Amino acid sequence: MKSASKNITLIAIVFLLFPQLLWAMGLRSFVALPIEEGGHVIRLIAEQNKRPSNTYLSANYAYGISAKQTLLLSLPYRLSPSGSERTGNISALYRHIIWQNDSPNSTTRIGLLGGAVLATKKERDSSIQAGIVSSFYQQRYEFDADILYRQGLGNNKNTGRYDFSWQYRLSPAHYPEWGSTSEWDGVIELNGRYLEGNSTTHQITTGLQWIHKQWVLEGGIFHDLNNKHNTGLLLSTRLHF
Amino acid sequence: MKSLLSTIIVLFSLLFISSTAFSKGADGAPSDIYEMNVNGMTCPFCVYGIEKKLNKLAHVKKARVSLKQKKVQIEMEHGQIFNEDEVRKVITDSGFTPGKLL
Repeated sequence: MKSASKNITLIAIVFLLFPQLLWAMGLRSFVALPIEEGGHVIRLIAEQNKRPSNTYLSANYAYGISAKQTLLLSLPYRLSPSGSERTGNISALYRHIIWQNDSPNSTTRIGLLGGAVLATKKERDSSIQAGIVSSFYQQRYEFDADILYRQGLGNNKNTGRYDFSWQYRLSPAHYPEWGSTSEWDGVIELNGRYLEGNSTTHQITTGLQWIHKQWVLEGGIFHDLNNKHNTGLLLSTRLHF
Repeated sequence: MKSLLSTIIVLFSLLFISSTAFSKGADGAPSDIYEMNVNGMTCPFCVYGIEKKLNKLAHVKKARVSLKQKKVQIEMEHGQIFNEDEVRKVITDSGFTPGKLL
């Protein structure tokens, strides 16, 4: 009973300290690619972990303030295990592209990230966060890399993350002359998650994305390379309007 | 004779003015259709924004993107002037880099 209670507390802490901001064209990484000025993207993610066993949803929203400026919001909600702490904290990130180099067949971009994790309950504390993201795209593949650090305020622990994501267009081999067709991308990522007082958990993620002009359907599996050797499943959809 | 010559000159002038008022496109391209190179385009989901914004421009009949050819094509309503600066701004506001008008 005591260990179950301890697990639930730990889940709550992790859940509260890791509001997932999973905005990317990678599965779990950030991305430095643009949303057009005035554009909106909504992303819904369902994630299930085996150890510790928990399932949660997150609602993510991105808004194009301008071609170089994007606002990213995320709110997680835990489905299981049961308990009073279900709604996580709201993560708000501002992304500013500071360098961009476009050519006919490629693009390279670097962006800065900054914002806060805002407590949604009085008894919780907030955090501030800052990081950097870069994206490189050429022909059929894309690399994204990011690092983000969250400084906990009050009783909140410090957390951090890094992601390296590689996506490759499996199909089609060639785009049509005009318009766009749907495409299938394979994804492989190396992710790291740090929580103060614990060693960094390194993970590998593999997945598939079915990409259309206005929507994406995607899924993946991630596995801890160290620590708890947890395995998790992720399903997500995005809508661009 | 003089009036016939004057009429011919006027007719030719009108023909010249009407042809230069429209297309600056490639040789043989239909009038009212313009194409411009765009750099930095990636996947369909990412470039949807360009197409959306171009199709909202006044007097644009249809706009489409080619990820293969790395360009956009804008078909203007017949007789409407193509505003190159406006199109360049749309591409930039979408997060990409406009290239040459073809």
